Amino acid sequence: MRRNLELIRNETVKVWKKKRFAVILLILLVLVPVFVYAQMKIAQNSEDKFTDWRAELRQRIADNTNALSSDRIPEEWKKWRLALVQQLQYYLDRDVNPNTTNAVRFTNTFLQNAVGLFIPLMVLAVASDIVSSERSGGTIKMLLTRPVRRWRILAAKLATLTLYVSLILVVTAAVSYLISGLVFGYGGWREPVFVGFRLHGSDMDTTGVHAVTQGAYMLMQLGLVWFSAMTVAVIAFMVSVLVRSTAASLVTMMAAVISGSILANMASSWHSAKYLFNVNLDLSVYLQGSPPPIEGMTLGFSLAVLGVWALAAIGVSFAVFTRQDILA
Amino acid sequence: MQTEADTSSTSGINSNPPLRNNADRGGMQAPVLFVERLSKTIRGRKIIDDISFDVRAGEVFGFLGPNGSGKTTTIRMLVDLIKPTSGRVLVCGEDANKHPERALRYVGSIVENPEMYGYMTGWENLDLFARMQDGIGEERIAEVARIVRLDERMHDKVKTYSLGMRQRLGIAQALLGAPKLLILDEPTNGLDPKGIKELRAFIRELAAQGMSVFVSSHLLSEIQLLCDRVAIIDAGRIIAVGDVHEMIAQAEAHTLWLFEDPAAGRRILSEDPRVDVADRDRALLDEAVLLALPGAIPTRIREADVPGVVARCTEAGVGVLAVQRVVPTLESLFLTLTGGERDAP
Repeated sequence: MRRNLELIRNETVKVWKKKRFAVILLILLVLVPVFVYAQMKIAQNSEDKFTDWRAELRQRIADNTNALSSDRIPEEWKKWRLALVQQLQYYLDRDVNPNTTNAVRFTNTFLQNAVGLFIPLMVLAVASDIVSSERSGGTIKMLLTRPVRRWRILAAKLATLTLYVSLILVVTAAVSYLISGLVFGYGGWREPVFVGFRLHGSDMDTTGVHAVTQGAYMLMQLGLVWFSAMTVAVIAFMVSVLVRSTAASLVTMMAAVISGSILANMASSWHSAKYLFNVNLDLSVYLQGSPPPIEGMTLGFSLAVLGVWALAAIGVSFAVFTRQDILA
Repeated sequence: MQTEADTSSTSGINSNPPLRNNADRGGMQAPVLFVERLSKTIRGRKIIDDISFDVRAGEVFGFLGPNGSGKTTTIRMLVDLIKPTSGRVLVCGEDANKHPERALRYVGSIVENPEMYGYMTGWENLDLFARMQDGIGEERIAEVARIVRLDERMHDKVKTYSLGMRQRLGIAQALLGAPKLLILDEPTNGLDPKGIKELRAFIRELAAQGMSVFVSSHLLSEIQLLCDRVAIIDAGRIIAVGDVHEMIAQAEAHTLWLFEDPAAGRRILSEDPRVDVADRDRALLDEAVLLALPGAIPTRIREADVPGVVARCTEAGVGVLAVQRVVPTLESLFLTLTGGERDAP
């Protein structure tokens, strides 16, 4: 056990000394203020137009309802708008403002938008070269000629990756909360959010809807984001084992993640695409109660698909790494 | 005329290594490294073909062969970077490919270039590798740093090191676990003459302390200066294992004769039963030596017989201008060994 901890420590030190995490932190520190500024502009804009949030909400409902009757809008968009209208109506009926501006809501919205692309890309910064850099740098020859079994070394790398993925999520949420709080104030933990909206065709089923606090919502969201980020991480880990060059492994994974978000927008009639891992990454849609990218997808389904992909990736990684000949 | 069979029995060269290994195992303590019938096939091509040899405690063992002959592939199998297709590698009795976590405790190695993590300091690198093994503390890290004379630069980033310093850091890493067997793959590559000389003295010192050192090279001169025994590999097959000096001194030495009257000299030499005029070996000799002695007659002759033959020439009135023994090049040793195998019954 002590040896395992030493190995994990070694791998953690390597990633840290490579300054990968510093780069991620820097990116967050630059980008989050940009998003905060954008959000601030939106808030100012609606303050100018509406004195009361209820008026604003009614206006949005009316706008979206009008759009529904138009013929030029594609069917999937209609479904999405219908769900939105019904949700907004639910909030209005219960006199709950869904668009307060505070740091907690900003963080929740940010995480929700980051899960599909931003977080996976940051995870790839660590995951893509965790094995391939040892091969391209030649250090794998020193690493694997020490009296330690190969699977233990790979397991230490996987544990390190898990640590960094978790750290990235926590730091993303923390940076977003701390910076947006400067502008919007640090409150909002106890504000209610409704969860449990279910779509049946075009009807919104509200029987399971209940209120949770924004703090609880953030925890749920972080859990889902962690699951999808870990899936991306272990698939990148597998690619990193299979591909010698770090650049190749990074590009492969970026292509996979980005094509996932493209597919999610166009594959609604290609049903078997729902078994691809990359269209299932956006788990927060289930929490919001928005329609999934492809009909028939549910939270359980997406978790199962991601889980199977992740386990398969881990299996392949270990099978290849423990057997492969280190030829060059 | 001396036959090839005679050559091999008197010189200690053995073209059948497995037999020799078995004989050694009977009489001596178990070898530090025991390689038995090792083969590796990659994509249908036999890279290593049934090689066997052993390395004893406290000896410097040379692994000699031209580039592409399979030296590095063999070394990679010794340290479990590559799994053999068949055969086995035992280090201090432990199978290196079945139980690397046990066998590799006794091994320190540098495979090809000594690549370390450039973004960390020398000390951090050694610390990293020390943590992968039991019982290596800070004192040991400081000790090996001192041994390779790198203690002053230990806290600088490795990417600022020169090639010689990286080589020394690599050796420090290999020595961390106080191994019984040190494997160095072409260790003098990229070192200047002074560095090579230092390395040689260093390896000798380690061997004197009881460590076995396995050194690969494509230079006969390097192996000759450094090693006790040598295995010669060509195209994935071991063509000879034996004592370096015996191999060079007896099996392959030629003697060049230069006469006032070359025709008369040649007649005397070819009549004398002690001398084997070896014109067909001309191709095996160093061209520079032959060019320096135009008209020289290459022969094979035992050293002890030289004065007698010279006396006979003098008696016959044929003036001897020069008699010179020449050390073979790797190419010549090599061609003779493979040629010898071809001629053998």
